[in-house]
Amino acid sequence: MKRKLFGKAVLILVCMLLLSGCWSRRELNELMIVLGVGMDWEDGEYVVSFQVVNPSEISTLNRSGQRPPTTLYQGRGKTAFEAARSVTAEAPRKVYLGHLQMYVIGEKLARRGISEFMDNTLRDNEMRMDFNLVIAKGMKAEDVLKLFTPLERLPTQNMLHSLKTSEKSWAPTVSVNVDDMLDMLSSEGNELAITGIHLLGSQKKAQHKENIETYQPSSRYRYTGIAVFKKDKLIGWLNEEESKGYSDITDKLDSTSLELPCGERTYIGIEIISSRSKIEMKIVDGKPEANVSIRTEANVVDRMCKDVDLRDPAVLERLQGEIVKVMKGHAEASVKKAKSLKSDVFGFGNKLGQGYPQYWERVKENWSDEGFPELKVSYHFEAFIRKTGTTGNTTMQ
Amino acid sequence: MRKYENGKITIRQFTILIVLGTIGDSILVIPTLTANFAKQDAWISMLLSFVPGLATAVLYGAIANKLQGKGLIFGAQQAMGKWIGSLVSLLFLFYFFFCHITLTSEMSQFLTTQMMPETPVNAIIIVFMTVVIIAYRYGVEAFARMGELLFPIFMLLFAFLIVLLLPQIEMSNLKPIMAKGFMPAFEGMSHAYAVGFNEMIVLLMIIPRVAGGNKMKPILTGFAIGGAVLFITVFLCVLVLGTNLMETKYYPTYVLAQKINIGNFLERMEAILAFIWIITVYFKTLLYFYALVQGIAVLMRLKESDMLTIPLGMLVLVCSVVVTPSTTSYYDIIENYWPWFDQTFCVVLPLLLLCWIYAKGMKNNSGGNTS
Repeated sequence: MKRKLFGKAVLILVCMLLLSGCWSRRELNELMIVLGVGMDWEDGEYVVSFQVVNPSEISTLNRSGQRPPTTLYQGRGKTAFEAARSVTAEAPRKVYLGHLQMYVIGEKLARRGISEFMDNTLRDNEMRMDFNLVIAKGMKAEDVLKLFTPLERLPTQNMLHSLKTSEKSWAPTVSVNVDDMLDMLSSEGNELAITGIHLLGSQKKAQHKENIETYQPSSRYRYTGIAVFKKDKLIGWLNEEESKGYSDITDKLDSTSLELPCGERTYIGIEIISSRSKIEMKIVDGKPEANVSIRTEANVVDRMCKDVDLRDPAVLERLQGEIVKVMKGHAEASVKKAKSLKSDVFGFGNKLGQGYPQYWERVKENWSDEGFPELKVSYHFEAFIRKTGTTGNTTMQ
Repeated sequence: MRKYENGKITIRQFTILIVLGTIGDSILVIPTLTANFAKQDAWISMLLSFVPGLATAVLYGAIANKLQGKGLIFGAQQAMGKWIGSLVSLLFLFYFFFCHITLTSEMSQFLTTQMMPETPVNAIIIVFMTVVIIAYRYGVEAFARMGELLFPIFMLLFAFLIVLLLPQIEMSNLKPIMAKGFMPAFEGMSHAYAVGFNEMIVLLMIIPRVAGGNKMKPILTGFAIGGAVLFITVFLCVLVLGTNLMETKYYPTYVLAQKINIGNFLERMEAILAFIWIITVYFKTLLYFYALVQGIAVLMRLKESDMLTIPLGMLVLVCSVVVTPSTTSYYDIIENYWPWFDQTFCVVLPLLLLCWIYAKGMKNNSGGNTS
């Protein structure tokens, strides 16, 4: 009897040992949830900025409104990890990276090369492989993260949403997550391209609450251009039209707007509703050739010229031809720019390697310096106008 | 603790144990091992490994039938004589011990690198081994039933994983097929074969507990189902992750689960899905622990084996940490030496045993009934 009692007591004690919970448990109130990370290079050191949620400010119940919804913490160090850990010297809690959404890289650092500090990111177990990368165009990453934004209280949330929406419906932006980055940096014959972001207006006002108290925030962000990398170093930017061409060729374009000139400063507005592209590589006379074929569907959304009769099928036929011309112009411009930068961001080389592995083995050494700039690219575009909105021609004079 | 001393398990339970054991830790390591050698042809490696895999199943089946309901150790002693038989048995035990160690270190390293970085490895192994020892003490019948219960859950979660990943499949990841010829796929195959199929030699230790005559069919089915699960995993890894992530990450299957994202609300499922490989690693470890304890008991002619469990558990705990002090050394062993180690103990040795049994049988037949 006594022994049984003793046994039970021991059992309860052992259970207590296990029931204390996880070894390394971290409750919500002990975490700093990081939404955005900014990486910069300053005086030979990495400067990492963490944009951290201010939990009391985003709760719907007791929001004081005194403090900003997020706070920025900064650390410096010789490695990305040292920089990150040195943050604890000023932050009350340890950072938690599981909810990271945006990783902003300063242009200066991007020009220096990104694979060195990205290694730490890939190694970390807390980070998931699904956050997006953007380049702070012509500015420091930390400035992008110090911004009061309207609508969404959390700036990174705001930026993430606009990145996704603009990729879907505006085209000159691409959302690249770490997984894609790793793919593009490791695969042969495919260079990295990441969307740029920069702040418009007064940077000084960006980090004050007054920024969102006016009708139009005096400082706001905007996605502009696509950064072209060679290996892991940024070497140039694509402008808006070239960026459109880029996302069109790489089949990232869903929907965008096109303007077909039809007179003095008058245009026919076209909405691209879907676009599918395919890159085919061939070898003709021992030289590679690329054929980009794109099939686009579009609607007419704006008619500024009265002499364009949208009721006439022949006119639509002509407009389709013009759409092809404009899109081809974008595509050619972006290929030309990439060729001048000697960076195969479209992955032509990669496609070549898939189709002709033996040939690729021979040319891959000099692909970006010789092969790609001399590559003959032909385009085969098709456009179909399906609808003209709710009206045909208007009666407006 | 209720004991099922002479418990018997059904053919169905036996098959399920083989399936769970075949999947075992392989589901975690095979994607990265095969991708390291074969890149985008990793799935071909896995597919190829079915050929030697099923051949091995036939080998084990033949031995199992020849042993006539005796375990591997007892059977070897009986067939090969007291001295040589004991030597071979010792070799098998040596192998079981080392394989057991790789399993525990694999599991603890996975948990500490991927999910609980601040937890000491020892703590995880202690808890894990405690559960293994408890299961052993309940006996085969109890844990075979447990396997039968968990198997549908495993399959359900696995199907869940596949279905949720279907939208992210990219067929272009497969290209180019066999760009560098046949060799890389072949090298990857030898790893997939060793880790995936060879290690199931341990099933020969539970033969005495299996009710029913012919063991060939359950072994073949078990290998085939387990192999199919592994093949689907590798195939999905190639299709969804691509070779770069597969090669870079130690645990691509975990990243695979992280990839699940249905409409931005059904995501972050990895912890739930980690459950499926904890089940399989657990059963494989349990089988090895069972083989080790039973093997020692039979070899030493012990009447009771329970008193071996805790000391052996402690040995495993210490050795797991000592033998693989870091993930780098673990992967060095796994990539460079393990397939040969596996094939020596799981193919050459059993083949030798089978030949011996055949030769002895022929001698007995020709010499009349002398024994």
